[in-house]
Amino acid sequence: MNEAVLNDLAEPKNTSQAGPETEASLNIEYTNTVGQPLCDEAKIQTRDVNVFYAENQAIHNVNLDIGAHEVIALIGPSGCGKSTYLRTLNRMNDTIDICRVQGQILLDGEDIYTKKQDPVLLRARVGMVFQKPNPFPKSIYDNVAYGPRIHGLTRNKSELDDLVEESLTKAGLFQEVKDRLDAPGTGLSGGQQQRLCIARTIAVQPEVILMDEPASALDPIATAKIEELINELKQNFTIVIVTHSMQQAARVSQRTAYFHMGRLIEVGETDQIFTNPTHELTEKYITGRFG
Amino acid sequence: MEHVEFETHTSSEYNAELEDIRNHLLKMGGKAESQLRMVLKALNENSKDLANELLSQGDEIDQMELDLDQECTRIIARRQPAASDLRLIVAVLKSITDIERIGDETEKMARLMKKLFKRDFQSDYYQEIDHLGQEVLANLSASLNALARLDAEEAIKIAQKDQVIDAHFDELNGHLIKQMVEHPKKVKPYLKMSQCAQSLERIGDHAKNICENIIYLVIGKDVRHSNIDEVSTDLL
Repeated sequence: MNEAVLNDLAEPKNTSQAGPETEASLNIEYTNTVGQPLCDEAKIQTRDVNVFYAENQAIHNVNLDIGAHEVIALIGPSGCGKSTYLRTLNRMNDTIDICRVQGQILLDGEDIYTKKQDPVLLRARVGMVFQKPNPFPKSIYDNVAYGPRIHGLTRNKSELDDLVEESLTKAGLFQEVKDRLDAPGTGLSGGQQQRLCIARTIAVQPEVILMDEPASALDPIATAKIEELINELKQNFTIVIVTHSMQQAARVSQRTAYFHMGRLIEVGETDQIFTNPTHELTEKYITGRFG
Repeated sequence: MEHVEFETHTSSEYNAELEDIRNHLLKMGGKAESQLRMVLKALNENSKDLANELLSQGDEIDQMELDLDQECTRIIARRQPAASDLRLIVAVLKSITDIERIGDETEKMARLMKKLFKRDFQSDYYQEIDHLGQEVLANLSASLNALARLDAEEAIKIAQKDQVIDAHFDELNGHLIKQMVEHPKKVKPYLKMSQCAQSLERIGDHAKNICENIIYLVIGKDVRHSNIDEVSTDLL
């Protein structure tokens, strides 16, 4: 641990006290993010990102790179801003009137918050999978075909069939549903529905997939399948995953970013974060000393 | 140099479990330390009874090793420890192997001494073995203290002292080999004395391993197979 970091660490704190944690109660002196928030082959670069909900600041000055073809896990206690940050990456916060985003978010070097950027096209490049599986009330086939149809990605039915099959296969679902593609997507199990949503996301051929606690509503077997899928998807996609499960972050990601009260505290190789984190707050969170 | 703070977990039960394995490890270390003290006393007092007493203590340390192994496995399975908690479990699992081997070495020394005492073999080199033993005992005690205080700085200093112990062992063993060459009829007892010295040197190595485990636990740096003087320069 370097001296600068040590200087920024506060005195030992008593975290066993009841009551909500505040910067004052944790005696935090905020410093710059420790570790390696930036990387050489960045797919997404975020610089000085601040997010406000009306007057409340949810994200403070976050600088973080998302490397191409990496899986990066965003972890932190509830309300730390990790989901808010995730949603800035494909402008999902645009749908919230009181939300204001400052700073630069670059996808392949281009600012995604310029007026000329069409959010719909952006979300085709930066797809999202949510906590709760949310298939459309349509058939399995139509769930996957919906995106390619509206984006005009295929020229005919045959190409669309191939794309649906390919997407379902990549999502590890095709073998389970190939004989009932006309059945409603909502009739699948929770784990299957989530993989259907992933297939739906993949079908529009995104470059980045954002996952907001994608397995939190699933049983361990369905979770294992999603994690296996994430491992396979990273060959073709860049994945940013928000998770409350420390073990899941440790299993699926190459890098881990720890958020605390809207600030990016530490970013590092996942192996390092889970065996020897640099920042005291990261250490406390992943060892269950608060959060 | 930083120090790990073991503050309260959100789960008090988890906190108690980690505290328990630390305490049990220290208890096991204390047992091995007392066995080493006893075997050195047996050597000093030429006491077959003390050697027998040590051997009669049998598998107490072995049982402690099994219990701690089980406790650590259970914590891994139930708690999935991370960061300093994970390093604590890893350090405990490694250290109990070292402590158990220290116990084995003291028993081996007790058996060798019984044979030496039985033959009533006299030699000035008993005193030299005792000197080496006292150095090893001091290092082992210091390493267990550093473990209790989670003091990585002290652990580095103790690990450095093992080099002195190794040098003393080499010197002593050289003398014993010379005696074997010069007194071919006394090869067996001198060989036993050499084996006693070797056991002490190995106990010193195990104490050093414990120090390396402390450094890993506190700082998160694996310094095994590294030059300890360079480690000292880097970390202190």
